[in-house]
Parts: sequence; structure tokens; C-alpha cells
Amino acid sequence: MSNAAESLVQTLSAEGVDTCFSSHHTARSCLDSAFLTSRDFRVIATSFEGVASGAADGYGRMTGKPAVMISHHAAGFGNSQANLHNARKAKTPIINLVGDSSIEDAFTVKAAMRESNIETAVRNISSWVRTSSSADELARDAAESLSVATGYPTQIPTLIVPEDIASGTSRNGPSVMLFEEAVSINSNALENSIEALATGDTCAILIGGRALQEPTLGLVAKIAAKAGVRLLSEVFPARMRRGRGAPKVERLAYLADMADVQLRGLKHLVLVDTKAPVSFFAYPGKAGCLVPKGCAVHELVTPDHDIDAVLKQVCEMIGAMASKPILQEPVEIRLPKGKLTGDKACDVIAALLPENAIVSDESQTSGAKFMAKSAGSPAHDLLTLTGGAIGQGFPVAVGAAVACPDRPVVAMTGDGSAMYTIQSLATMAQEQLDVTAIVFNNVSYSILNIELERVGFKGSAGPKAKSQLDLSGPALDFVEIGTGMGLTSVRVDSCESFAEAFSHALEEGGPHLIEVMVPPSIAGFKLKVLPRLLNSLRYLPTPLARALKNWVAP
Amino acid sequence: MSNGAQALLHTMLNAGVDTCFSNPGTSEMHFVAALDDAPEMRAVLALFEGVATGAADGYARIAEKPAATLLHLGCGLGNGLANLHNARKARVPMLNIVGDHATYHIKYDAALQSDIETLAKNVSNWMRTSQNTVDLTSDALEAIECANIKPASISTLILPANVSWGDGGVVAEPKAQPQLPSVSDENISDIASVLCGGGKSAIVLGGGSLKANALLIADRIAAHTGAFLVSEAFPARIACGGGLPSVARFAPDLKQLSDVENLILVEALIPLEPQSQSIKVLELASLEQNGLAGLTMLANKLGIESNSSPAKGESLKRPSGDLTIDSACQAIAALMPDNSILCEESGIASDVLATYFDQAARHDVLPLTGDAIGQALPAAIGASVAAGDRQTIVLVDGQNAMPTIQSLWTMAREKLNILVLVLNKPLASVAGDSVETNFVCLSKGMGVPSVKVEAADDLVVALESAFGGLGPSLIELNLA
Repeated sequence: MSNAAESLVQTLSAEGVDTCFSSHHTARSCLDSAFLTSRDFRVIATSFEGVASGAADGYGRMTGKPAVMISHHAAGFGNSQANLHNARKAKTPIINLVGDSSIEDAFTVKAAMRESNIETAVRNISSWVRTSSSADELARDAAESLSVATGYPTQIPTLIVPEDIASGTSRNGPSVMLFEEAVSINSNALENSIEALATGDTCAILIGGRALQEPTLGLVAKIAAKAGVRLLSEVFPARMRRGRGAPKVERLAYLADMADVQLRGLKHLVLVDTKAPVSFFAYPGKAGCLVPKGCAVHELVTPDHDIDAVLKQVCEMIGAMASKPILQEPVEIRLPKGKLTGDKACDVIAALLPENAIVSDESQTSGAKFMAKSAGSPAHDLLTLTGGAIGQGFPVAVGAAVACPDRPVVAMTGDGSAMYTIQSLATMAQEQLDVTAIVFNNVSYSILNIELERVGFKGSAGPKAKSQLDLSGPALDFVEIGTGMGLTSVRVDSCESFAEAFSHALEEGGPHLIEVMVPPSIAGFKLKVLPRLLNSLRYLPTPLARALKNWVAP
Repeated sequence: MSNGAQALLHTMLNAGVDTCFSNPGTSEMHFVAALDDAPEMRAVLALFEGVATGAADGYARIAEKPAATLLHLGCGLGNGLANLHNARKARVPMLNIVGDHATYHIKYDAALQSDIETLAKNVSNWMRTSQNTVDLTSDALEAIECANIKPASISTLILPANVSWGDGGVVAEPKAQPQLPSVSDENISDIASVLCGGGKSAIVLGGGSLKANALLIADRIAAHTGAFLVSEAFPARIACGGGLPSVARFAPDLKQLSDVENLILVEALIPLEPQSQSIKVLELASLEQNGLAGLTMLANKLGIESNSSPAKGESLKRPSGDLTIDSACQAIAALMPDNSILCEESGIASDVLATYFDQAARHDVLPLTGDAIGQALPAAIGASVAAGDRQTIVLVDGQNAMPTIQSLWTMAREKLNILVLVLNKPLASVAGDSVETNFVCLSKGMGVPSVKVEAADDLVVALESAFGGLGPSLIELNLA
């Protein structure tokens, strides 16, 4: 007879779950052992839980199925929380298992040290939380959590597993999951959306979530083409298919003032698997909601829906099944020359990006032009920072590479961002993942310099404030750090050397780190002017505002 | 007129909080901007929130007053949670300031929106989301006062951006701290008679009673009555070496406790199964009280005279030959300067620590309190910020160094007098083939000079050079 943890593992593997992310230092628990000894599971042990949780997110985004994430106690969960937050916002399915002390060991020193209210902490990311209370029922709890994770919407259930429950004998053995049903179409929203689509150029479809992946993206693009409406994407998509041959979609800008320009003049906004657009942060005197005044919002598809079923119905109703979506034409990018800047580095990446790559982007200010530059690059999947909790870029790349071993993964991140989960590099090396990790080193929390200007602080920031955003003393050396973690690492400061290093990394395959030395993209005069420019956009006539917006952030 | 952030900073300074370990984001920009308005506030930047929270813990253990942390919304707090858990178990005072969206922005459920309070509850004894600029500073005072009340605890003040940037901030003045409940004479008499009554007793020391002066009194009480000294189960700070008595840590299965009839608790917390109570438990000082005062009263009651300073044993010899955990600990203990602070988080060294460090020069040990790994490196930052004139030493296993490895950068940036000793032992692989981490490279990458040693003699040379120098350094020990 198997123990309860083994029954849990068998339950999950019978439903096709086969990948588990955990950490080295917890591998002695019965829960971990059950995964490690299962022939059906690949277990990837990391040296920090935040790497594991981000990897589970990347894996889920690329496969559409849940990985298992294991942490132990509230503290281990805490380490995984930020990237689980990003995963929650991405609606990535993940089975989050949190090991706890044996109930019967409550009076040992270790248990007393570790004692904490785990449920309180995990509620931050999970609406389904259960502390398993019986070895017989553990497999059933796991089956239920799997139903929740893969249901509508997909999400992150948390199952807390006390060690003595995991090691106990399960008389019931493995369990079977029940499939959740999608919520049926909201006929009011459907009718209103179809009427809105008929208004043509004052209507736009704003898409997110599953709608940015094929084949769903193809359906929604047909609808847009047939109705002659613009196709916009949410600011931070979990996974977006783009590049040559993919339907053309205009992504909303991060800076609210610019998104405002993109949305201006709309009378109808049809939402497909996303929410109405809002400002990322609040700024003094500026609107938080970005829906233009007088614009009606129609929630055509929510995360509770079977998205393809709804979209097919719309296609049939408006006769869009045979219409041709507007597809992206190839654009040849010439390799730039000379000293590197963030923009030129984006040119290099866009020019050399291989076919069907996966790009994990947390490049902040340095990679601001990547979207524009790579629009006509070979088709690829773009994974972005969905929840704003930085330190996602590298871990998500780890998970994507585990999910898709045949596809090259390019991870772009800023220097500040890279440090939050720098331990990811060790996992890339350990698993020999095909990831090219690009660190844009501008020796600064550059984006915060912009934010400091944007939040309307009166007067100018003093030296103490500025030093909180400055990473120069000492400058981080990512070649040393990458080497220390076991990666082939190289530093570049010219376009030519970057192109050579990037081509070499892609050709050779496997884990590589490239430290790209760049100046801050927005500094000095530009930094002073930017907030004023942003403030002025809302007062400018639309064509001028659009031109300015495209000049700053194409 | 002050905005909320400016008034908050001055109120914190008034209440004795003059150090802030930070990892800010957009919603904290007004707080950051206000730093220039408060020159007495020392702001120490961390590249990861777990470094900031662990540093605030180490700071409080040495300074015996709270530092602040500055964190960015729920995810910043989440990243800091593991070391906040350790700090909670250490019963240290701390003020977390967690920036949040503007109050009117919450309804939009923007990307970074999450339930901060549910996370904060996990570690905080006091928690509040400040609702307006006028009340912000009274909220902050309440938070600090609550954190300081014995047993000290963590307060979390959630600071919405508009409360921070709003005008009309009022600088507040703290009230006098309430007096600690005193130890009663009657209680002292009871305990004195139990100690002299024949049955075997153990005195369990915790909190402030593990500092040198209290330890010496406890030692004389133990010698006088035949009682046995132990520390609480997971102490935050223990004075050690320089002739101080060696105290084992409490564990229910500790051999020396097997026939103990009485447990005398002095500011101590121990896990004890309720039904195993053939043991009589008495409290000389509760967690709310002053253990040193209680021990002093008890010593007087027992007629124990105050003694001269402890006799120092022979100093340790410098080892040579193979680099083993024994020779490594011997070398460190032999060479560490007087009055060092030792942040210890090593499973490899745990069995031999007492053997060598009890014979070292006088030092304070800051152990791992909540079993959440990644504490030692950040705690050393805080300890060193609190006591810049003291040598701080980190003894950590490679695996335990990884979760908060970003600490090295802050050590370099603040030029802290910290020596990091990373222990690498060839381990049987637990899960998958682990690629070896090169800590010498990692350290250089973050601006801390580093060296690898593989023989005891080389370690001695490296230690001499590190202890003689200024600023941080790292030694990676490849144990045989």
C-alpha cells in the first residue's frame, strides 16, 4: 500500500501532470520524496523558492497545464509568493503544495521554530486553500485542487500538507479529478458586443489572456478584420504570439498617458479575456481608469468562459469565419553598429531572433523599443511581467525552457530586476536549459528615476533619494555572477560584440549569459522632459498626440 | 507644510527609529524623496526585500530598538516574509512600512494589487492601512510603541501612496514608554525555595537574560544551587566566549533535562507538551519582564555575592593541515577579535560550534530563530549597521547563503566590517545533479573581495588579512 504522498503523486500524474518545481533544501520531506521517486515526474530543484514558482508559471504559460510547485512552511511560501502573484495575474494553472510540520510533532523545537499561520499567507494568491487533514483524503484533496487549477478561470489552488499526513497510509489510494464546466455565454454581452462591432472604427477589441495565443488569436483577428475594428492587447500579456505571419495586435503602453492616446475617441471597447484598462499606479491628479469618457465597455469573454466557443459563435454570427485576418509582414532589421544603447540592443535581438523563439521580457526601460523593433521578426511567443512583481523574467524563462526543450528561450532583464531571483542562473546551469539570459546593465533602477519624476514630487530629488535608485556603488558584475552560477558568461558594450555573442549563444544552445552594458535609456534632459511631455499629451489634438506617443514609444 | 512622508520620517526619528532598510518602488517614491528632508535617517538600500527584513532583524538584535523596512506592496512584503518570520520568532521590534496603491486606486485591481493585510497578518502583531495623511503619524507612533512593548514584535504600517504624498502631515511626539511589569518578591521567594529544595532544576534563559551580565549572575545561581543552565529553544542573541558559561539550547529530548523536576523560565520560550507535566514550570521573569532584574533579585535572595569578572581559559591554538569543519572553527575561534558578532547559520558546523567558540574571545552569537534559511547574511548587515565598530562574522553553509545572496552587494555598498565565511562540503546530491556554485565569483560580482581556501593554514592567513582590513570580505571554505 502506498503512502498518502505517493497517492497524491499518482493522482496528479494520471491526469498528465508531470513536472514539479521545488527547492534543494526541502528535498528531505516525505512530500518531496514522493515526487522524486516517481518515474512519471520530472523534479527540478532550485536554490530559491521564487525561482521555482516563477518557473512553474513559465511552464504553465507554455504548456497550458499545471506544474506542481512545492514549498515548505510560511517562510518558504513567502519566498515563492511574488512570482505566484505574477502567475495569479497571468491566470496560470499551478498546483501549489505547501508542506508543513507534522501535527504530532508540534512540541519539537523545529516545529516550534517553523510554526506560523500558513493559511493567512497563502490567501494572498489562492482563493482555494485547504489544509489536508487525513492521509486517506490527501489524494482526493489533490484531485480537487487539480479541478480548480484547470477550471474556469484557471488559477492557483493551495494545498497545505502536514508531513504526517503525507507519510500516513492512504486506504483510499489515488483519486480522480472532476472537470469543471465553463460558464455559458452571457447573451446580453454577446448582443451588445455584436452591435458595438458593427460601429466600425469607433470600436476596438481589447484582448488578453488566452486570446493572445493561437488558435484563439486567429479567431479574434478574423472578427476584427471582418468588423474593421482595431485589435488592442492588454499591457502585460501572459503569453502573446507575434512576429511574422501572426495577427497584428497593438499592445497598450505601460505609461497611462500613452495608453490614453491609444484609446482616445473610442465609443465601444469589447473585452476578450481581459479587464478594462487601468493605470498601473495612481499618479496625483491623473485618472486611474483609462476607459475614455462615454466609451461603453462590453465583457464579451471573461476567464470563466470557454473562449473558443464564444469566439466561434461570434464569427458565425457576423460571418467572419472565412475572413482574412491582418497579418504581420516580415521586416528585415539591419544590424546596428557602434556603441550599444538599449534601443540598439533591441535591434540586435530583433534582427537575430530565431524562428519560434520564446522571449521572456523584463527588460524595463532598456528594452522599451523591443516591441516595435521585433514586430516583424520571425514568429515568437512573448512572456511579460503580468503582476508587476519584478524578478520574474529569469524564472519564467527557466519554466518555458523546461516546457519547450526544442525551442530557444531568450530572457531579457534589467540589472535591478535580475537580482531579485538571480539564483535562476544556477537552475539554468544545473538543467542545461537552452536559455540565453540577457542582462541590460545600466547600473540603475532606471525606471524608478522616471517614476520619481512622474509621481509629482515637488522640487527636485536630493542625493539621498537618488542614491536609493542608483546601483553604481559597487557596480554589479554579471559576468562574475553568471560564472559563479555555472553559466558561460560574457560582457558586451558594442553592437558588433553583442551580435557576435548572441549569435554564438543561439548557435551553441544551452545556458548563456550576456551582460549588455547600456546607458540609461531616459536620463538627463529626456528624463526632465518626459513627465511634462506625458502631462501634455491629454491636451494635444489626437493626431499630434499619436505622433508624439509613437515617437517616444512606437 | 509637510506631506505625509516627510511628517512620517520626522515622527519615526522622534520615536528613535533612525535606520531604514529599503527596497522601494513607485508607490514609495515620496518616502524616498523625503529622505533628503531627514538627514538623521540612515537609508540602506537592498537589492531584495529578504535582505532588508533580515537586516532589520539583525539590527534590532544588536541595537535593541526597531529599524524600519521600506517595502513595495504585497509582493515586496512577500519577498521579505521569510526573514520577518525569523524576526517574529526572535521577538525583535521592527516597523515595516509597506507602500500601497493610492486608496482610490484599489478598486481597479491593477497588476500589483493584492491583499497585503492577509500576508502581513502572518508576521505582524500590529497592522494597519493608514487611511489619511493627518492620521498617518499617530498610526506610525502606535506602530512603533506596540513594536517596542515587551515581548517586542513586528508592526506593519501599510502606506497608500496618496496618504504619503498628501499635504497636511503632522509630526508627532512619542509618549513615555510604559514601565515593565516588575518581578514580585513573593515569586522570588518561591523560586529560591524550589531551587534549594532538593529536586533537580534547570534555569532556562531567554531574551535579555542571555546577555553577558545576566549570564554571569545565572551562572553563580546555578553553581550555588546545583541548577543546570540552558537557553530557550531558539534564542535571538547569546553572549559567548571570554569565560562566559556555556549554555546548551533547550530541546525536549536534551539529555541533561531527562531527570529535571523544575524548570525556571527567565524571559524564555520553550515548546513543552502540556501532558508531559510531571515537570514543574515556574517563571522568574515572563516575556514581558526584565530577566536581568529577576536574576539579580534571586541572587540577592540566595545571598550570592557579586563576583569578579570570569576567568578566561587558555586561548585556542591556530590549526594547520587539512581544512575540516573542526580546524575551520578552531581557526575562526582562535583569531576572531574581541567583541565580535557571529551570525551563524550552518548545519555543517552545528555539532562543533560550542567546542570552539566557547573558548573564543567574548562575542555575541545571532542564531537562526525561525528555521527560514537565508537569515545570516542579512542579519550581519543589520548588526554591522547597528555596531559599526564591531567585527561581524557570518558562518553560513553554501546552500543557506543562496536565498539572500544579494546581501553581499549591500555589504559592499555600505562598506560594512563583515567577514563572510561560506562552508562548502561535498554533499551527496539530493535532487538532480547540482552544479557547484562558485561563491568567490558571486562575491566579486557583487563587489566583495573574496578568496577560496582549501587548507587550514590558508584559512589562518585569509582570516588574519580579513580581520586586519576594513570593509567586507568573503572566504569560501572547501572542506575536505
